[in-house]
Amino acid sequence: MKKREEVYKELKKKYTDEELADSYIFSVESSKEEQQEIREEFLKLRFERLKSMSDEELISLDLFAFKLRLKKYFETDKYDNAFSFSSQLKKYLKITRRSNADVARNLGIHKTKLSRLINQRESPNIDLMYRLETHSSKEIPAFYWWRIFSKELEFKIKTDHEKMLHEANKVENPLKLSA
Amino acid sequence: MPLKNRKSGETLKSSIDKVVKSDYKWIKKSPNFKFDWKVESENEVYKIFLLDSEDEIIGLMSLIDHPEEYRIHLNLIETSGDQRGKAKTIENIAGCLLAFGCQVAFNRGYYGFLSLQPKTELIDLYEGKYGFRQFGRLLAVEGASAKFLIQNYLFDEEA
Repeated sequence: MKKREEVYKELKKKYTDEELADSYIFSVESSKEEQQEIREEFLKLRFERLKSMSDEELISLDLFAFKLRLKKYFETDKYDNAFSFSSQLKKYLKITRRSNADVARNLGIHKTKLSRLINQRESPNIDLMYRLETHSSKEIPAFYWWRIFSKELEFKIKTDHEKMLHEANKVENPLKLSA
Repeated sequence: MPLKNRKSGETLKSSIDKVVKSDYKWIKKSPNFKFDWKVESENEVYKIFLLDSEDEIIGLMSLIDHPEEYRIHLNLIETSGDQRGKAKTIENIAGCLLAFGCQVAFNRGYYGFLSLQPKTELIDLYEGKYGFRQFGRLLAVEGASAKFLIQNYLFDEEA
């Protein structure tokens, strides 16, 4: 097999640089010594960049990473307890770098209500989801929060056999359908 | 800008998955890939294909994770031979793979940081086309630029 440089030279004969950039993105091969030099130079700049990131920038990027994780979760059919409404709300609160009391105030709800939502003692409503959308500067749409909650709810409906039986006992004369 | 039919402008549904063992055999036999992808198998290698034509790989990407440096290094992207230059029928293959690399970098907590050690003559093109900027002798796309690539190439209209 040919080395990268040889392949590149061959491709250059056939394609313009624009066409190449459109079809190939590749790192060049270099000696170990050169690699080390490049890496050291890079690392200095990389860590300077990390240090220079503002809180606002970090929140924005953390929020986007959070959104990507949610999108990936929505692609799966299964419910994952790590993605319960309460656990994702906790993650969101952490990303904001604000206290729970501050976020509760921002959302126009009592801090006890927020605490109850976090501890799964209360279910969220659509009003809260719209408020969370606005709070995230629209990065996390209200329907994302709805999807998180609806997946959890669907799982509960399917698996809460005790409740299923309890409610079934209250029903009289159910429809009799032949198969 | 997800994958698009070059003539009609129609959006084409595609998927990006990890390359598996049997793919390497297919790639080696295919006249459409010029680079030695078997060499890349020690890295994380991904393939892109159309959902209605899963057997045919239209692009490949090789990534190296550098967790201690908070970055993913882009070693190589190659689009299939029939999708290069004037003859190509599908737009944005390399862009979609690149955006996927940024997504991997976001998922690993690197703020989308994707680096590249480019050929000098292609630096301007990579900067202009994809938003790379220089970090010493490396190029990188990161942060807001990485987010922009993902939103443009990978997100559907729904958000």
